[in-house]
Amino acid sequence: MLPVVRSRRLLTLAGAIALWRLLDLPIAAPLVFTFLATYLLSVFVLRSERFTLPTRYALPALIAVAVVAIAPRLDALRDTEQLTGLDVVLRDRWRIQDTPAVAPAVLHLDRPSLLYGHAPGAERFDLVFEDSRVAGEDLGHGLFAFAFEPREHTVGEVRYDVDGEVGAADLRVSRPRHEPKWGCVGDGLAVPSEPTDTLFVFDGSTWREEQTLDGPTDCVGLEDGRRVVAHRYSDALSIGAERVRVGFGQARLARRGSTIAVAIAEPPSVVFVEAGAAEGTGTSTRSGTGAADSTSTGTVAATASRVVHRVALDTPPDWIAYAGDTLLVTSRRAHTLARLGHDDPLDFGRPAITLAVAPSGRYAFVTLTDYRPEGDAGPNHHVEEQIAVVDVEAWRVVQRIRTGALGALPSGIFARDDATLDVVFAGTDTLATFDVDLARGAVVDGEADRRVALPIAAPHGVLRFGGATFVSSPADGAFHRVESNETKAFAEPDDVRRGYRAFYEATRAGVACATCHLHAGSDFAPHDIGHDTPRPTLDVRGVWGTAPYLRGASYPTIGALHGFAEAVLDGYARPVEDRPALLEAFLASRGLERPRPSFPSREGVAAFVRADCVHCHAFPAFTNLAQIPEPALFPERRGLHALDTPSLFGVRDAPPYLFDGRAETLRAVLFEHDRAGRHGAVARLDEDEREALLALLEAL
Amino acid sequence: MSRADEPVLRRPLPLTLLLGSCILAIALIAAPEAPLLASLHRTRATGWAALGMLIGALSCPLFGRRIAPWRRAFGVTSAVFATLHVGYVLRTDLVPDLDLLIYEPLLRAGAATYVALVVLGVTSHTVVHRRVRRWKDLHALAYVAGGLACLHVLLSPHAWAPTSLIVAAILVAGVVARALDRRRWS
Ligand code: HEM
Ligand code: HEM
Repeated sequence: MLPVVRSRRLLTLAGAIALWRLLDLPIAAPLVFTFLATYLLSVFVLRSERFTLPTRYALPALIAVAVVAIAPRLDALRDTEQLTGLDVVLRDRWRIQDTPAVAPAVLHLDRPSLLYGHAPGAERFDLVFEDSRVAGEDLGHGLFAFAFEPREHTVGEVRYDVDGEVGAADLRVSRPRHEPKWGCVGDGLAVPSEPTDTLFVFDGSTWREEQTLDGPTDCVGLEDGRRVVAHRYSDALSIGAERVRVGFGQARLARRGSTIAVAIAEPPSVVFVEAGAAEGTGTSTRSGTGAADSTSTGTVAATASRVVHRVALDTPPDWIAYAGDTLLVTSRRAHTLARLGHDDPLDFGRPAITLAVAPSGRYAFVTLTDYRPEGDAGPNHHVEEQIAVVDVEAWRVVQRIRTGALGALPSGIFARDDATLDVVFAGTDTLATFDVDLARGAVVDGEADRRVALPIAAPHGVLRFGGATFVSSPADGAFHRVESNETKAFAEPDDVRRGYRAFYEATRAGVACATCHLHAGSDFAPHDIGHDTPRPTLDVRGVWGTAPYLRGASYPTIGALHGFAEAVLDGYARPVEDRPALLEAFLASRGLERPRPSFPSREGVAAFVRADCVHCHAFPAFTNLAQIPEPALFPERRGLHALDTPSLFGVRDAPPYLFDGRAETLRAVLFEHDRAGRHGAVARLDEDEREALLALLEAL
Repeated sequence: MSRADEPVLRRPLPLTLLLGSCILAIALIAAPEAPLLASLHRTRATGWAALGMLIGALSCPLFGRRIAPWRRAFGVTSAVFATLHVGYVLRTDLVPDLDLLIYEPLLRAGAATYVALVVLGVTSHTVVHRRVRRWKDLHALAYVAGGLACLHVLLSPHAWAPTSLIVAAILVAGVVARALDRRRWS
């Protein structure tokens, strides 16, 4: 007997799909109703038992109807049902759920880092490299921590060894690239490349590469021709061949005579070093006490350099420069320019992108993405780039020069004298040279005397050397000498480099990703990005592999954010093939900066588990990549959006906290902004456990 | 009906209800203490009880016709647990606003599945069968329910990542087994 019933069922399904198509709603749910309608239609209206087909026709008919009806609506359906990018979301989730798991998702070979492994019940967990391994420190509850120092390993594919079971660790490996940014002029032009521990030196005729210690960040030249180099991942400052221990996380340098000021991130401070006098050549090794341990080869210091003074700061210093005797310090987190030793910082409401001081010391020039001294968010996606001219003596902003017409993202500035500035714009690949005329008024539009379109992408630094202007591009790993129009490249283009450019490239609205995510970090400022409340900028380093993105989990992939640039920021003038993939590649190459990684304690991990944090901030990524409706976590707030559970890696450096930045400190997140007691069960913890928990968060 | 076609049990409903309740009870015992986590856990556990039974119903053809009566039992049990799931989740802040049942894809897929399961459950009683013509055609809605349930789980942020793939594979296997079985079911 023919399976009449079954074929009628198939036809009912086909009818339901056809009707669904007629509704023209790219949503799956109405299928239930179109099915019921089709059924009722077939029973009560058509009433005919003859409306059947043999199954061998009914099944292909159903498939054909399904394909014809659904295929053209597939893209729309994917969007409305939030399926776009879901493959990436599920892949990232699976990567951390599938134990043994390792996080973060990227291993950076340019810096020491801490990785975490999760293998419940395991006694031993090693990360295995080509001919070496790192034994995991057992922190309890199946969590292991690995201290990775790239100089000690040859890294190909990374594997894990958990109690003898070996497998692929599923880690993306990010290899260092030359990224010259800002440098110094002394006995030649020198520009460090932090990832490759290289100093590019130009002596007026040829370029050469010098190896430095781990993570060179800045340099200054001494009068005797020696060069001082700061390092992020080494605690030593190089003064010529001498090494002076000043601490990890050295950011920028400034010099006055033989005094070198070193901006240090961890702990936030400025260290003053008195450079010893250079004399003769030869080799000497000297082990001093305290700060001045030195080993010298080449030019031997007649007297050892030494740390003379250390000043603690409230927030990490970013740029420093001397203006006469005064050391000027910018803070990205506090949005200030301060005079060290004075308690009257100028607050711009946005961080200084860069700082230069006129050779006379009279004026300081600070480039800003906006000027918001009230600390407000300003209009939606608002940016108004400008240079604040600060009279150092009078200590006030005497002029603000809007630079929007000259270029976007003023990333490097060089003051030739009190009035003439060279500024490079990373967002538009331009160099502008212009005169500052204070008589023009308090707020003026910049007008360039010279505006050069540069052949290198996302220029960061600009220096004058030997009568010529040199511009550096970390995106291209290249330098450009403007007057002679010569480019010297130390690298080949690849997706990361193209993505580097894309990240810094301004849209037609004059805004780049990097405008707010300054150098892929945060500008620590609130922004109106179209929500009910302003949102603080997220640090986007180390986030690759944690889809979906943004606090509301509104973007399934990093690349998807490009759609927002197209829709809200007027898109890009320069066509680029697969910009989303390039942005992904670039962000995968940005890792957390932890100058001095240290393991969290077992007590901290135990408290974390006891307070139920681990259910959402799950090992090993310290997130389960899931979302929670806001009222479920914070019932006193009635917002209807979902909160994305953030990873807690680097959380210490990412204030303010919670999606609207309402918590200034980690302590406040847990003890002040959890009125309903739903954000973890900290009430369960005693005082010691609470401290251990906070210490764990600080260490992550 | 040949001996080989003899059903394993004529009235399996009490058994499926008992089975589901036992699984649910075990899952609920393991609930964490913290209130939000506990409500998430209970939501997931009841959801799984419902989905487990729906999978049971749709995969019956894989196990031959002797367990044919189990399909209806699994289906009815699924509707019962889905009612528990929905009733529970609507009382938590996990669904802070009823509008979200329409606007939020995760919840919309769940709600549509639920409507389908209720229709299937209500129309599976023999009393209804006597009055509703061609109720078997109506029960093809189970496949729509299965698909939407897959979508619901696919979008569930707390789900184990491969879940929906596995569920979808079982559903497809059930459909294929059904299509290959050329004989008519009673
Ligand atoms: C005592 C245990 C916990 C600790 C120490 C902890 C820590 C934190 C911290 C420091 C933040 C702020 C991160 C940032 O703003 O970048 C945060 C946010 C968050 N946590 Fe936890 N957490 C705990 C428990 C939980 C639990 C149990 C859940 C899930 C039920 C959860 C879900 C979230 C979510 C969704 C956010 C984002 C909130 C927002 O963006 O407004 N956390 N957590
Ligand atoms: C009005 C209807 C429904 C609503 C509002 C609803 C809501 C929810 C919510 C909020 C979750 C938690 C998602 C998460 O945070 O991961 C959930 C999970 C779940 N629901 Fe539903 N649901 C509905 C109907 C259904 C139905 C009819 C089924 C079964 C056929 C079902 C099966 C599940 C399953 C299996 C999970 C757990 C997935 C996992 O996390 O592993 N739901 N549901």
